[in-house]
Amino acid sequence: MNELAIDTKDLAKTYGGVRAVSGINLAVPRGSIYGFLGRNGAGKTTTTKMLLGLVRPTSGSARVLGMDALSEHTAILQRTAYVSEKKTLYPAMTPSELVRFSRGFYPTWLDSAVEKYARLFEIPMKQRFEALSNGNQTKVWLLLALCQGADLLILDEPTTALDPITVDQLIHVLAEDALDRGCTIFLSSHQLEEVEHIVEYAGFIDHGRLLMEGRLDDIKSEFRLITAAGRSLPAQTSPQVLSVDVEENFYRYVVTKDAEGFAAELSRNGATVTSVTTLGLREIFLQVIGKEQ
Amino acid sequence: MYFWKCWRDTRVSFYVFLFIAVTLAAFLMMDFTMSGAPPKETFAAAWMMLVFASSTLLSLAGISFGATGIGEEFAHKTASFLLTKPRSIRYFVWTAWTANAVQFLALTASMVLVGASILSWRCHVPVTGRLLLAFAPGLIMTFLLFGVTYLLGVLHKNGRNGFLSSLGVVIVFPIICSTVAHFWQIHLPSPADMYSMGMSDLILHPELASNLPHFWPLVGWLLVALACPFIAQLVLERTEV
Repeated sequence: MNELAIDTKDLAKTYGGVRAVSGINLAVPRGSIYGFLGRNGAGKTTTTKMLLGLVRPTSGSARVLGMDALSEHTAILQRTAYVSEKKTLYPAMTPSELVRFSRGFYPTWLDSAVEKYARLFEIPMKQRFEALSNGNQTKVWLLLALCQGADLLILDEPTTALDPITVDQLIHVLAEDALDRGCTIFLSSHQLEEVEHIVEYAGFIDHGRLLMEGRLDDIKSEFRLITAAGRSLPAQTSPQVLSVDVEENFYRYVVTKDAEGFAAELSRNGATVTSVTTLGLREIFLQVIGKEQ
Repeated sequence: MYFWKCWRDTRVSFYVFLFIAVTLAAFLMMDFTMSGAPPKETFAAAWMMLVFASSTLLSLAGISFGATGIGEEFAHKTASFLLTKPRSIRYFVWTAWTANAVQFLALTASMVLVGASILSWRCHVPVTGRLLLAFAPGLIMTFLLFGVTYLLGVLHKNGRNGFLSSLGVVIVFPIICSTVAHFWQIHLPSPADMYSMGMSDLILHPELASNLPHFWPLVGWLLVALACPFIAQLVLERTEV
């Protein structure tokens, strides 16, 4: 059995000469939570749609749950739940009617989960979709996806319009209920603080290119923030030094690879190294994107 | 599932059309049978009037229902929800076709039932299978207009624009046909060829009412009517969401 839930090879998409996605290679392990992170327009949604067979790749290939995304997309959809970036559903239907509409498509549908999540997310099930607030509309999408009993959840900006409490509940549901069932979660987002707590693996995408991918702990261990005090310390960036902030005699270096060696060299140059700390996902993301630009 | 959704999308219109169909059939038949003409002649003329009335009404239903297809899903940005359901495009297109076809048949049946009941009661003439065949051109015309509207809705990715384009076709196509016939004496195939007689013939020669519709035009336009959703399916299979 293939150990990857999503496996792409040089996946690319061009729209009229504009490269939306440039040959990305994703490797999403089964049973993991993968954060597909990038700015607006980075190529996240196009990539997601290629995985679901909604958009045809210009080149490259994608395998989802071991199946070819183009030729076996109906079989993939049987086992995949999707929350679209645009949270639009049939305006005249109520959430109850949307459940009725959706459940017949999936033999794995979890009837017991409908009531549970409707109560948890406080969704008014008898109100027309168009009359719901933006947050509740997003919750309906999530409810439909979570009740599907899918092996893979593809969530495109799932926290759009959600209040912090619901985001917290969602993270809890994803991390416990979905993972307990052995579900893989592919989370596309630019809300880095929200997803940082749950993602196990992360991929950074910008301008259609996958800049970095790996286990989040490994990515975090690669970056260090070194704060040092001293006179005439190096203030240039290099492949190792991603950025330098200078304020009078205080220097803040973001360093990748061998941070300890760099700190030791600063000390040899007469600097007082006050701290060597890890960076949060947001800071790493900004550094990686900034470096590419 | 999707069949239910298709029914849900058109049910209000269906009830409105059903009400009009039944009322119109009853009104026309009562009006005709009140005249002092001999029962057999009254029957033939009334029957053909019923046929033309049902053709007109069903054609309107065909265009109207065709606008509720997948094209509208793109306009409302719900296509990514529908098309990520684990079914083929073929399933969605032909389920919608079937759901609408059932409604068109129900509308026709209601008009036939009401019309035939009143006519049989007032004129004492039994309704035969041969007479029922007179409704075939109207039904095929309905499927044709439904298919054309559905296809244009898919091409526009908007059901309403499909509806307007289809109305344009309905208005422009007969003008093109008559212009070509007038200036170049070339007869372009037209859905009107399916009918054995026109409205003017009916008034002058009501005895022609029991003539069968023309077979080959019937078959030809039925194939065109079925080709439209098939082309829509092919287009959708190549469309990105």
